[in-house]
Amino acid sequence: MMCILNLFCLEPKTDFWDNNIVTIVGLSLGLLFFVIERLLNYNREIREAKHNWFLNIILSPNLENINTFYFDSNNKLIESVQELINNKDIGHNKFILLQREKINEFKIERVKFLNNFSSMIRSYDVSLSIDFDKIINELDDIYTETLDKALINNDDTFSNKIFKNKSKIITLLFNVIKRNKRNKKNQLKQSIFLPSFYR
Amino acid sequence: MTDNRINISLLAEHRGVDSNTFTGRPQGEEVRKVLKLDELDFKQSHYNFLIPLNTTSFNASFFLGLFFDSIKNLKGYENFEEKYHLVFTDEDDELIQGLKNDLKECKRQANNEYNQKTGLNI
Repeated sequence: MMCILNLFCLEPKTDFWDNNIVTIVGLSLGLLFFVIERLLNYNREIREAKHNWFLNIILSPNLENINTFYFDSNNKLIESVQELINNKDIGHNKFILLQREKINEFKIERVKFLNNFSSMIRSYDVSLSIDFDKIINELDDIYTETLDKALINNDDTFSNKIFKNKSKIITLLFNVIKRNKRNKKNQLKQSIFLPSFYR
Repeated sequence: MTDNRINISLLAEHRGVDSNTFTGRPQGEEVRKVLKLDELDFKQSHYNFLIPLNTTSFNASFFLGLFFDSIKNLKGYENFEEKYHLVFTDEDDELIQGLKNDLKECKRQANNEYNQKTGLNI
């Protein structure tokens, strides 16, 4: 009992402490580093799994579909503008309905494909899906305004606007990959910080 | 329309020059300032927003610019819907159905942006 008390009292150190303090402190630090590294590894594995799932299951299979969507939307818009111009004399009310029908064609495709894709993105990263929706809203506006002013504007720059919008989407999605590579670099730096015998 | 509601008309000029559509978030925010919605949000009254005749599209971008701050001030879309009704003045069923579909999309985006909920959580 006195020996145990002696270990913890503030009296001059015994031989036991003099001989073993370095070992005890070293072992404690080692245990602490081990626990921290395990936790960091676990979190990193979860994040990587989530990221790989997003890349392989959601993003990669849909890149070609995004390309096709923009290509088809542009072609459809060119046809629709021409149809409105050809029907400019059908009467005001009928013309309004025809405009709405053409606008609808884009909106229906948007709901079918892009909204579905957006909800998959949301399962990975909410703010990414909101940014995605904002860019698609710009595309929606381009389509709507082009048809709205089909008879007034001789503006044929809408194709440029559509493909600029596409590159915004690709940049947004590409930044996800860049972000993951940056995170991996930071994690590597963290692991370098740990003593080598714990790596 | 409920008798106790005050009517506010969205005008043709709110759509932009020679336009039949409501588009653009900055445009929505501009109309919000003109209609002083920041003040209306905190009044007790309920309102009908009248969408003008011959409107062919009510895009989510404009809706969010006009109403998203109201949704935040009123703490959610349900409270917003109770206070503000959007009313279509057109008589054509096809046009009205199209605008109702637009509002469904507006609601989806407004809820997502307000709630920032995920579908799955990993």
